[in-house]
Amino acid sequence: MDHTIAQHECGNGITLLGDLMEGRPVASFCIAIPAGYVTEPEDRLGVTGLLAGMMMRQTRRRAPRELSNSLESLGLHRGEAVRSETVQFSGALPASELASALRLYAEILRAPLFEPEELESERALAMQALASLNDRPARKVMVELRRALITSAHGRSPLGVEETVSRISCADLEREYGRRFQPHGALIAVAGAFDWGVLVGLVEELFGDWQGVPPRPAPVEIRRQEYAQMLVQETAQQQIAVGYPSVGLVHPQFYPLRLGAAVLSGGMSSRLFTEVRERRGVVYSVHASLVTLPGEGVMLCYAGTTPQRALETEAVLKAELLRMREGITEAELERARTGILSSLMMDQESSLARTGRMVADMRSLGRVRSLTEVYECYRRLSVADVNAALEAHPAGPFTTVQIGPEQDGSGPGAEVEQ
Amino acid sequence: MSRQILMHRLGNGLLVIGEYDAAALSVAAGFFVRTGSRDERRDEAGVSHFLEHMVFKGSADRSALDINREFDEIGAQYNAFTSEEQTVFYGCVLPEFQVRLMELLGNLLQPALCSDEFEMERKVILEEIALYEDRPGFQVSDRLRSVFFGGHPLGNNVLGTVESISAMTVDQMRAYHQRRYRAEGIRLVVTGRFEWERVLEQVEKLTASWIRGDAGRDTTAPEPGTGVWQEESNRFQHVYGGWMAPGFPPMDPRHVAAGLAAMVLGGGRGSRLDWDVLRPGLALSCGSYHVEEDGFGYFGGSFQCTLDRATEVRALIGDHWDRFVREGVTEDELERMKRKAVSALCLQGETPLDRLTQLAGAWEYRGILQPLEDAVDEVERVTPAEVREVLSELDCHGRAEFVLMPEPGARR
Repeated sequence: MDHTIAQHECGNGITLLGDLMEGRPVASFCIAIPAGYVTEPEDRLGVTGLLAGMMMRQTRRRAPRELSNSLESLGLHRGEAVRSETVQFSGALPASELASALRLYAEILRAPLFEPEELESERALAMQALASLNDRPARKVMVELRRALITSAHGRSPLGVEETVSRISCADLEREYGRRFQPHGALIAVAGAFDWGVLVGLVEELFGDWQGVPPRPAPVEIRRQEYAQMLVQETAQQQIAVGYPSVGLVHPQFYPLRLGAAVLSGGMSSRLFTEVRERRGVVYSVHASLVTLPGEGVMLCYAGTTPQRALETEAVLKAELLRMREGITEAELERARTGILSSLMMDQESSLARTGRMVADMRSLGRVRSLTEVYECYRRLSVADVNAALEAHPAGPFTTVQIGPEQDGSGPGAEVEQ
Repeated sequence: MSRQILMHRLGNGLLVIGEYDAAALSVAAGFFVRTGSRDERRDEAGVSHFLEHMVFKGSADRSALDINREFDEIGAQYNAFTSEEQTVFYGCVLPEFQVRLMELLGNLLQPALCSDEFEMERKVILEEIALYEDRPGFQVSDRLRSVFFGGHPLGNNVLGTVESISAMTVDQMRAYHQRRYRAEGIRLVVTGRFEWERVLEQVEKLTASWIRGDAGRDTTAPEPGTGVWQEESNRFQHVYGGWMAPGFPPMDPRHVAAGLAAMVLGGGRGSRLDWDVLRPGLALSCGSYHVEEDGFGYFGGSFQCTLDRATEVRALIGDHWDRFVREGVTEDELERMKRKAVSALCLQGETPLDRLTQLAGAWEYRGILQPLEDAVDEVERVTPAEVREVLSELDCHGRAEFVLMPEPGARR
């Protein structure tokens, strides 16, 4: 089942990772620069998203039209994601064009050009994206939950806030680019058909002489007291989001708790789907997941229901979260384990998913786990192991954020700290 | 890439299509039922989609909880969806679970439709309708289809309405199932690493009792509407709009050129609408596409912007559309979009689950078994002259436009 992930360390702190998929017509890459939104200055929130957008518009060598044509003519499907500690530039394209794409990305990353006119366009998009969140209450509630539950900078929204986005200048972009877009700790992950020797040579040529160290992010902090917030808005469904502390990938009880999370909300036989949707019919959508952050983890849960059923839904949801402490059955464990291991295997079929896994592992553990190792970590656990972990890490204290129409007892924008 | 396409018609008329890939790590299978909201009678609006849910709520020998449990026991990634003209049940598992996946999927299509579960699921469907009320883009496409298609069944809404779902009876659903779920109107598609003989043998037994025949479909072409429709909403801050214009049906080979042309106009980055609307920040989203449905095809597009930009954005889209129809596309533009289209095809063709959709689509709409290489070829052959010719042949290029505006002063 296992195959080797090739790894090469450049002298400047960039790690190149290669996952060979021979004969594949498509290759994927993910370049993760350690310049995520956690190190944004308080008064320039949202600057990282603007930077990433501006970098894809033009370079010092290529005007907008030229850069766009160069990227598009490779048949490239690309995306930029601003995450808490990294900015990720990903793409998938015909394997034969991989080297040309990496050359272009070296230019994008190392020779950006920030011009006022382009900044105004990028800002207009960013401001619309912020306002648009109000029109998507199901998304907004999760953004607000993260903000309330994760009290360090990791809980921020990558979009920033209107007040700061509206005043970011080209000088801010220059300064933040210089301060945070640095190679030390960057990752370049490639999956598909490639010649490793050629790839190493190319990455050394393109990035080897880039030098610099980005600022260190402050540690993650999670709220550990009960907290509730109600945001009043005219919506058809009341959006209910509940979060609480869990553990990160480095924690010895991560694997049993990940299995517990799958029992709670893995497949359609999971507890939340069964109790909240199948037995009561109060929701269409209900789910929970264990989200890992550097050194930490949180459980994020969601349910959407019509306002008259909101109290019942919230109560059932929380009761199920609390009931996990009482333990799971052998059959539940087996289903959860089969689900996780099957997805792990099926993800191997997608080159883009493979690059994502390499980057996630390197960021959390400083190495890429082999498939065998991950399999073993799940396979060796018994019901007793999982139950011990669930007892040691019961659900709560809950941070609850809701969005919905005004009801008795909730004034506009009421915030109630319990 | 060596993949082998297989096909076999079972004794009951059910067609089984396979694409074997020795390099795959999983097997995917889907039953594609040729029925959707366009096949519903006026008093059964939303029944196709409601039935899709009910299929998971118990069969003759399995309860709803059994079905959910068994799918999870084999680690399946599975789901179902309903469109205007298809209801699809699919799953993907590791090859060792092939037999159990087939058994489950085959069993689902003969649901028990018991009234207790029907009542419970009615509540879930009403929640789903409420969920989409909070999604402006969905509201627009739904209303747009209804004005574009006028009274034609292609304009029927998939979810139905609160009224139609509240009034629906389990007997109506049983009658619909009897009428529409017939062996010759259903296709089983299997992709990835599977044992073909075993699939056929097992499915032959599983489906032996299925009603034979084909439910058929009224494929009278619609008479598309043109004009502008506008509504106000107090729920949303932005303006959301969409437009549609007649294009080419899937049986018409010109639809490939039409699809590429729509990409040049507004198929994401590097397209004309990207340069003139998105990159300058005039709108948060703005794109166009060409869609093929059973016996009909259309160009369509959508946008989202702020209220103060709406007039400008709509005018730009209108100008671009007129110029597009009049002048066609340049060689450079077409070449770039062809490259993107080809890599999208290959990327989507990476996994058995994605390949399932490509294979089924080509068969359902065009009656062909299409290897990935042929789909790529078809795109690569298109020339700018062909695109110009295709656009000049459009009988009518008037558009139907639907715009959802924020109610003035309704919300912050």
